[in-house]
Amino acid sequence: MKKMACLSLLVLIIAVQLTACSGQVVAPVDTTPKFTPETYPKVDGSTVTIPLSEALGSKTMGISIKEARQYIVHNKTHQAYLNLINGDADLIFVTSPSKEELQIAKDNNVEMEIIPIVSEGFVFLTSSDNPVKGLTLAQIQDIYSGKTTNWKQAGGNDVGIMAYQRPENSGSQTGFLDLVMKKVKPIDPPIEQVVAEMGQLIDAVATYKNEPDAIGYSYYYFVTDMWGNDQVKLLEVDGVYPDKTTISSGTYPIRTAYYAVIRSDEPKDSSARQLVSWLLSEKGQKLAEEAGYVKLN
Amino acid sequence: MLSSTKDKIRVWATIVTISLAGISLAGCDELPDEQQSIVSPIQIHYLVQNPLVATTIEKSDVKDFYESKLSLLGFRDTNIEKSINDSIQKVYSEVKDGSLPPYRGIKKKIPDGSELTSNSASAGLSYSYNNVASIVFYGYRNYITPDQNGVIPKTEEERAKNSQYVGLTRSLNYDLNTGREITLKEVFTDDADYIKILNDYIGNLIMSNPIEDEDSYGMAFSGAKLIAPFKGISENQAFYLIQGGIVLILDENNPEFATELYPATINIYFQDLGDCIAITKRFYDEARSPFVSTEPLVKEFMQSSMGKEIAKESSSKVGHIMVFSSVRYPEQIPEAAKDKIGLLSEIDQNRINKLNADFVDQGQGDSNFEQYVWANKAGAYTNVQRNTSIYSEGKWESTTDTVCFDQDGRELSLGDLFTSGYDYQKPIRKALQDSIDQMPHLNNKIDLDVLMKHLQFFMGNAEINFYTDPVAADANSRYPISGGVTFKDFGCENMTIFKD
Repeated sequence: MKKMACLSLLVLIIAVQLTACSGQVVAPVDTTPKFTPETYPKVDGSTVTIPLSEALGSKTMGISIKEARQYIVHNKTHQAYLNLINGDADLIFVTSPSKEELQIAKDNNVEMEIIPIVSEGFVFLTSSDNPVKGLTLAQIQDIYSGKTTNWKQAGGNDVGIMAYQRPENSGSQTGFLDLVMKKVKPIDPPIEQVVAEMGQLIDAVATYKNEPDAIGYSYYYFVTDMWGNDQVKLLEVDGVYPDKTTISSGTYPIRTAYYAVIRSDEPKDSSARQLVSWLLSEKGQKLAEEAGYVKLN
Repeated sequence: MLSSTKDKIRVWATIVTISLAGISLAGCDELPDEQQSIVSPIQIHYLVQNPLVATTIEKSDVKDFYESKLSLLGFRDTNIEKSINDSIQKVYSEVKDGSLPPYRGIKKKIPDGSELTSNSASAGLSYSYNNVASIVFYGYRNYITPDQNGVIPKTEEERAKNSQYVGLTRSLNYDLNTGREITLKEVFTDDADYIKILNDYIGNLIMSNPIEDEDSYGMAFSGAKLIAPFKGISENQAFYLIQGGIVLILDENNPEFATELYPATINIYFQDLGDCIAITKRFYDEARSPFVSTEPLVKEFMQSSMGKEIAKESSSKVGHIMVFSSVRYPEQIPEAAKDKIGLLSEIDQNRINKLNADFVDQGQGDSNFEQYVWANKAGAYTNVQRNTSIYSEGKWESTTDTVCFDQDGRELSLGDLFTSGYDYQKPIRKALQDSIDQMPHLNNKIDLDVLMKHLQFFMGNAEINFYTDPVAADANSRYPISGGVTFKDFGCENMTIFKD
């Protein structure tokens, strides 16, 4: 009897092992939506999300990035919103809508679903020669509102602060005003004379020069892995260094996101919704991370 | 054959330069520095034009199809000549009739079934010096894309709306001694980390051009947007050479840049890359020429960037006179040139006072006094120039003052530029007379002998420009007569300015 029991157990173990080996039981279901270039939803978006779109297209159409790239057209943020509202796009990958874009949607009786798909951090940079490791958000506001004018006041060397900004209405300047300064009015940016196309000198917002007195800003996506960033240092903000982990978890305080936006009347099982669902899945987030973005927490 | 109702073919030959007198090949068994290590620093004082014959055949037809084919002639070794021309023809055919490049979005923007409405292709020499040549090929195609129903629109308005343009740029870069294509690495000295040098340059350019902001226009990148971090170029980066620099072609192989359906370019002056440019030393030996020409060598200075520039502008109103002053010059010029700029940029207050004293309000508004002082470099030489224009009561007067300095800050006279005994006045007189002949209203009023006594000059990269004192062109305007003479027309062998 005891022998029989042992034999039965052995048979059971072997059977389980064989089943496992055959893969019939444990094989995960591939939930990646499958498209052809003809069935792929009409996707639009901002320039910064083009690589994400290309990676997504490549994965879901089962073709190389180089091949998928030829099917991807992003018409920039504002036009992408207009195309979504007008029905010329089914899905857009963009930054959050402006007041104007929300109003246009409302005027056209279009309701939008705005879904965060990847995280993004707004980062401050200095020369790697600058001994200051980090600043508080309040210190940054003080620098850019003109209250703090010397690095010594922030624990650095006794040198004046050259606080660079970006051109008005540019994406990063809008981010700077919305995410960092909020209700604090920034000082006028440094101006430099540049030679315009016709050869005449014109005043322009001075571009960041990586010198010991400089502070500037950008989005994390562009700074990370950029050639030459070994000469540039990212600053901690409120004691937290910006990296993929801290931006994703939200411990880094100046955080935003890129969004998938669809019309609310998009059918439940539409290809656009399938794409977004998959992008939010573990595999989708891994793909986004491989494309250089910061995954959601 | 050269002309028909549909086709118009023009054939023209340009002798790019003529050179190499009395050159013996005896004792020249090795190609220029081919096996030797080429290391920095290399100072390139001047370039020597290749005495090639570049033949271009142009062809166009009523259907807006255009061709411009290039052949290079004048090689001693006809096998090399044939091999190069075969390659040029091959790339040309690809640009003209090959498949569309895998540009971002191209299959969406130009789907199957689109109608090709125009197709142009051209090939031209962008650089031809010191036994190196770059050939650039441009292709332009226009398509009408199908509408939502998959039908090519018929109305002009709809067709214009569905019109899509595609541009292609390809290049070939040759060592003309051997007919072999040169690599990007060979442009630089053997001890230079050329990838790092170029990437550092591009990285700095990106930092000073916010091209990741989608609504800004990055002039240095011909409008291309950065859509992903720039991680560096590869060894196979497409490029071609131009006089004074290198052009990197940003195309489907640089996907971090969004360039639409046509490539963008980055132009980089050699001067901005340091003293590690090997193209003159690696491929050129004055004692050995791959060309059949025996004409004298024609030399040019290498074009250079302004580098870091000092620029000041000011404007004010003094009495009835609007005074505008502009000063621009490269930071890296001799101190003597800077001193001269300081002197020339002072506003002549006596002149302003006199203009005010003479001012009579005739209802034509205030008078204007504009002064532009600037400097630039040509080879080792620095030019300082002042242009002054005065508009007053319907009258205009312009004056030009120029001074040329050598690299030691010595102010040069015209005679310093030429070898002893050479009659440089003759070609200058001819150039000025040609200018006068183009202004019939000046004829018979000008005494060229008098003007030649107060001649000023401005050194260019391939010519010298001359300016006279102002002359009365008519009752209301006075300005200098100017004319240029190329180094080739003077004969480089008659000039003292090309020193190694």
